[in-house]
Amino acid sequence: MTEEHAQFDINFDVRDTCSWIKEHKMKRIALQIPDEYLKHSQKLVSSLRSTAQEKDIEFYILADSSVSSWDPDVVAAQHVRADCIVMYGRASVTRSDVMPIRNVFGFVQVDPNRIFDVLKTRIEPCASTIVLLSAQFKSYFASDKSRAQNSENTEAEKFTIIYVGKEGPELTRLILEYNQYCFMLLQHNDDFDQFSFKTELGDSSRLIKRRYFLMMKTKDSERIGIVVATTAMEGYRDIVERMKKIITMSGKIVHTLYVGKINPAKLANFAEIDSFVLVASPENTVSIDAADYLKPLITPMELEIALVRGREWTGDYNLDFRPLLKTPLPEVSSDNSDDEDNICHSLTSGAIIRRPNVGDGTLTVTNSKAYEHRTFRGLDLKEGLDRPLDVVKGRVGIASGYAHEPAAVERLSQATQAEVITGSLPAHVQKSAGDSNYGISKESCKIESGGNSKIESTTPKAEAASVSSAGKGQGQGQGEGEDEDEAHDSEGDLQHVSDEVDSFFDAFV
Amino acid sequence: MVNFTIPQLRAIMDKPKNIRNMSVIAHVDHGKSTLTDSLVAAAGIISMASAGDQRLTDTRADEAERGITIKSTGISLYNEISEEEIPDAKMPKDSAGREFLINLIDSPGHVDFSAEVTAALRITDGALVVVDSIEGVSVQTETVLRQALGERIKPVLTVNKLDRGFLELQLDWESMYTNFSKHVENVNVIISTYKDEAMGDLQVYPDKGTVSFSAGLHGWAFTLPQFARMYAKKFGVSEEKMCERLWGENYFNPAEKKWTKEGDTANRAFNMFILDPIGKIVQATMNDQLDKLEKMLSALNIKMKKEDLELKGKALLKRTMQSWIPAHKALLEMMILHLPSPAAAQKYRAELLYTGPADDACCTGIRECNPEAPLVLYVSKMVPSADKGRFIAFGRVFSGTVQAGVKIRIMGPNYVPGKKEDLNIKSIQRVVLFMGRKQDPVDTVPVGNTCGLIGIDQFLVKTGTLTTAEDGYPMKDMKFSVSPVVRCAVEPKNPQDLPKLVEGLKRLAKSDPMVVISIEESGEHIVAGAGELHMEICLKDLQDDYMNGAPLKISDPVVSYRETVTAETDQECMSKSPNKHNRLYFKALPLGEELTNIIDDGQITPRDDVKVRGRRLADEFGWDVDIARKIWAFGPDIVGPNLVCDATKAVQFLNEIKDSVVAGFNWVTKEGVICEENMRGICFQILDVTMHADAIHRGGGQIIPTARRVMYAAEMLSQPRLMEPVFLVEIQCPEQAMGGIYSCLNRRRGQVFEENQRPGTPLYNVKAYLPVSESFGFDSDLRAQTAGQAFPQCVFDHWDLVLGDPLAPGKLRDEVIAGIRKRKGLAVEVPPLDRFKDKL
Repeated sequence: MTEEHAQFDINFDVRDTCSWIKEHKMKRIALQIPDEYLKHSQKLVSSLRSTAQEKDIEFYILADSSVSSWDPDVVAAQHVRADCIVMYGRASVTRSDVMPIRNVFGFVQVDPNRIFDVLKTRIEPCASTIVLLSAQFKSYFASDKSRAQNSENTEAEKFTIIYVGKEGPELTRLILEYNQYCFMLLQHNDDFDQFSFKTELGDSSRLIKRRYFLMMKTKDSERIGIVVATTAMEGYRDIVERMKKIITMSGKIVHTLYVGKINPAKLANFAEIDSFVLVASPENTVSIDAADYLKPLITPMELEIALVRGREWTGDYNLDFRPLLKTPLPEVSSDNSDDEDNICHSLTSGAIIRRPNVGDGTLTVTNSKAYEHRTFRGLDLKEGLDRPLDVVKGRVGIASGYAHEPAAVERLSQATQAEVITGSLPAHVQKSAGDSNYGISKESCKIESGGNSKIESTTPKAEAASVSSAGKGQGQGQGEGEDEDEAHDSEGDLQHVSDEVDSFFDAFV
Repeated sequence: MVNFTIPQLRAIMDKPKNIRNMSVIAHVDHGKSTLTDSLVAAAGIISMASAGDQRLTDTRADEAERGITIKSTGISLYNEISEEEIPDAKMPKDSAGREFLINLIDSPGHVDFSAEVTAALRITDGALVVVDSIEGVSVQTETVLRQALGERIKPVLTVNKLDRGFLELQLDWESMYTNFSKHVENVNVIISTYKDEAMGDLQVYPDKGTVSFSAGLHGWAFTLPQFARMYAKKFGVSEEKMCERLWGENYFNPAEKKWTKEGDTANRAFNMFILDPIGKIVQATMNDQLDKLEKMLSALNIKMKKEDLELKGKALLKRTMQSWIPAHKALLEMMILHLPSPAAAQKYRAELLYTGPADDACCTGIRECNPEAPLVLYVSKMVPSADKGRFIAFGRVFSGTVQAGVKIRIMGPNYVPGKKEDLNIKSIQRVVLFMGRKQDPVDTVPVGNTCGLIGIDQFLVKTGTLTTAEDGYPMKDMKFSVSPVVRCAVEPKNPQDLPKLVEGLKRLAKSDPMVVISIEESGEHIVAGAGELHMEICLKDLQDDYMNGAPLKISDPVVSYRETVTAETDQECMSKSPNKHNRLYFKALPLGEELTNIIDDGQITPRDDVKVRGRRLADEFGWDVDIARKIWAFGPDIVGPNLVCDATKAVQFLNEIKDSVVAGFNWVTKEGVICEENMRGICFQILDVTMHADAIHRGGGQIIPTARRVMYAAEMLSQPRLMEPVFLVEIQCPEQAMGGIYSCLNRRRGQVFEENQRPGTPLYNVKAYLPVSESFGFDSDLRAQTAGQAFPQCVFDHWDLVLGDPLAPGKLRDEVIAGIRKRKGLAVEVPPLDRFKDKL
């Protein structure tokens, strides 16, 4: 085994993963690999296979999760009847009640001396400082405890936490949940050999102010949507039920939505919902850039503070919803229908608003004012009054550039060339696997005939017709990446990698 | 000793013709509170001796400390007028008996607190305008007087601080007279711009008794009819005749004992018969010439106590003058004779105040001042209760009778008749009368009176209308003359105190009629006030009274900017929806300053009739009629000065995406592309749209973000500019301070546009424009530069373009805009155009 191979195995934790698989006697293993590492998938599988040395273990690669890259894609894994999921890369450490999940974070090894050297330039040796390493660093600090001399005053209240990693949801979560501490970020470059301090960190008070504002808006909402953005986390069904109960008890109207991977466009389609509660894994929750959304997106904990009477805001934060399930909900007495607490002065709107009376959870037909301000309420049918329109020739082409547009013509000619490549070279197959969401790492015997013909038959001429007539898979064939829309989100990302995978690629080379 | 009881007071309340509701208004430091003291003293609430020093209506510690009034304070005074004071023949014909109730509101004079004045004016019918005899009519005098006239409030004038003329400046009689007549004239110039048929002639005339002359500090005042009464007998002419002769070009030749129309200024009747005797008494008392004084006193038939005569200097002067011509006599006479009773005033104010039909029960009740009619009560402000925990709603009964325990409808400013929003049905716990520092409970308060209501504070933010009529309409909301342009962000030191902060801010919002509390999208809590002083007071109140001891962090004051465009978009602007199936083509163009201001003033609103509005836009502003009729929305906040119009030709399904486009429009007008400030004066036009054939693919999710992007692109392509708020500064100063003023203004981008000397004084009046962003610390800087001789008054005037392209490198982009973006937690760079505009 070459040195390179050995390093690869260490980085991807191949040995331990294999022993874990064997120990639990799993046979069908789903490997969930983030987009940026998809290019290693083939190598990983062969490495796992050679290390496991058992014929009957099958590996499946899951790519382009339909929920989020932070969560194990349990549904997809169930499709292939997998026994477990091994997740690579960043992830929320969650447990699923469906199948066991193993996380492999560590890809990068750094020389701890480098980090200490940088730290020394800024930090007094005995200051109360906690150094946190991003999960992707291989943790061999544990074995090197001599360096991490614990200072005497562990009771000190003001710790400075130094996070080594990059800005991102992990850090945001830490800042929110440990908002009483001061944070510093030690950034690394892409090659992990240089570290530098970043002091201008978005401070926790700004984050918390923003979250509190969203909570207050939710308090004033009439309709609240529960967005289910995880299907893996243990207890997600319970929390959805709990949220439903809280919302109906506070007299608001609740809608439960599942939209797969969430994005602003999808949620904006529900124009009448005033705010959303996101049931998702902690990192996923903060990875969503709420500024792009029209309506507030809050966490279950925030919803409880906003709507459950007697629940006080303490400044403590927990993005994980599981602890919530342990606290019982207060019983609601229904006799306080005209309680003065229902009247409040809302700072978000600057007016006095009346909260709806406490509901008993039963469904009532209300003449909601939500639709009042809509000017368009559906088609005005004047059957028989309007003359039927003449049939005219429409536009030709795809939406990203119609055929009559000069840019589109150019692009089409490029597309033609691309098709040729697609049809013949595996390089492109691999490239598209790395680039696009539809990470395709196909394997010969599993490609259905339809799929094959798609690749061959998609020519510029047929394009216009095929967009409208062909199924979802057809859209992918055009491989331009630009014309993806959420309507095309599909389960087409699940690929079975079997023994033949190598021979398939060999055939192309 | 209070010389009246609450039952007495309550009895008189039932006689609306014997009530006068009035506010005292003036420029800062012209002596309102001091003058009010004399009236309070006359009612026995404070002693005569301390009148003028105590300033009872300054109820807060900081008011006393700073010597300025901050909150307007109401006080009900009971007065019994003797035959001697006003003879029977002179009594107002409709009054019943000689008892009068004066509901008086003392208001602050500093511009920053103008909103308090507005709130006071709404619930009064008359205004006592106080003008400093030396300084004359100042900018704030004019502002508040105009506001009073706009509310149909009858003014009377008092020229105050006469003691300064006699003691401090030692002016000769003639220059005093010229000053007085000039002040009267200046006031009349302002009044004459308001011609109101319903109210008749509102000008003030000294010889008709609508102008008095006073020295609040010494507690004395007079009107010409008072002196006329004194002299009429001696000259053997009627009082009216004498009164006319005491003002203007009337001279008395003592040698020939003849009245002439011209003559020596020393012989001017006003100088000779009024100023001269006063001057002599002043001289005698100040020079300790007791024998001389006693002679004069006996001639005037004034009896003074022995111990009073033992006083010295100013104290003796005060005592003497108070005995001779006490201030309350002159002022009360003026109020009772010349200010309207609620019964008289509500006749002409009803139509102006009530938003409902003029013939419904409420409006009739207001017009007729009927205590039996349905209740209509306007709450003009909220007064914190002694423990700062709750608030007392302070207002005036315009119709019917208010009483505790009866269910009433509480309508807030957002109430729309027929809807349930901002409407609460509750009963009042207690009704109280405001007596300066304390409140006294009563059972009921009938029409025409001011009162306080306890137990309804949670249903009102700042103002509202209470009624018992099912179909009652609210009264018109007040319009303030100042805008909240100075803003501070506040946050608690510890995040767990956020709920305390929110509660505190809610209380602060209630306690001040002007302060605006808002939360930005970033979660910042913003307190906005009219000026630096206003902000200082508000933030102090917040920290000391409303935060329950939780420590606050307060940011430096910041200015809110506006984003605008200065040219029409010069290229086609198109954005595609996320699914690429929909395209919106937009352009942006400036609305023009005039139209923007008209929309700001509420002259053109989204509620106007489409055709009328379209015609007006076409006729006055040269709009295309088709487009002018297809205005989709105003924004931000439904009424803002930005428009989105449909300029498409024959596009299908357009009505389906209208709501989505408007939602996007509201979003962008609230947060512009440059630094997420409100937009101002931008008109967006939809030129064309391409849409997906299936409704689901052109839903809100696709259109709203696209509309936002395309409007951002249009803004960026139409020479966007920032606008900043600009103060109008008025500064009074002696000549030698002028240099300091100029250098101070120059350093702060200020522009002087008017400078003139006050005739007869060494004082100059400087008017200048000063950007609000440069005004922080201007006050103290100016004082330092001019050795404390210049005192500025700043009031928001207009929005002005900030020079420079906000997208090009330079100070504006790299400092100002980067600063704003950073504060809001945005990326420092303005996002590039290609993030919003798609290529064709």
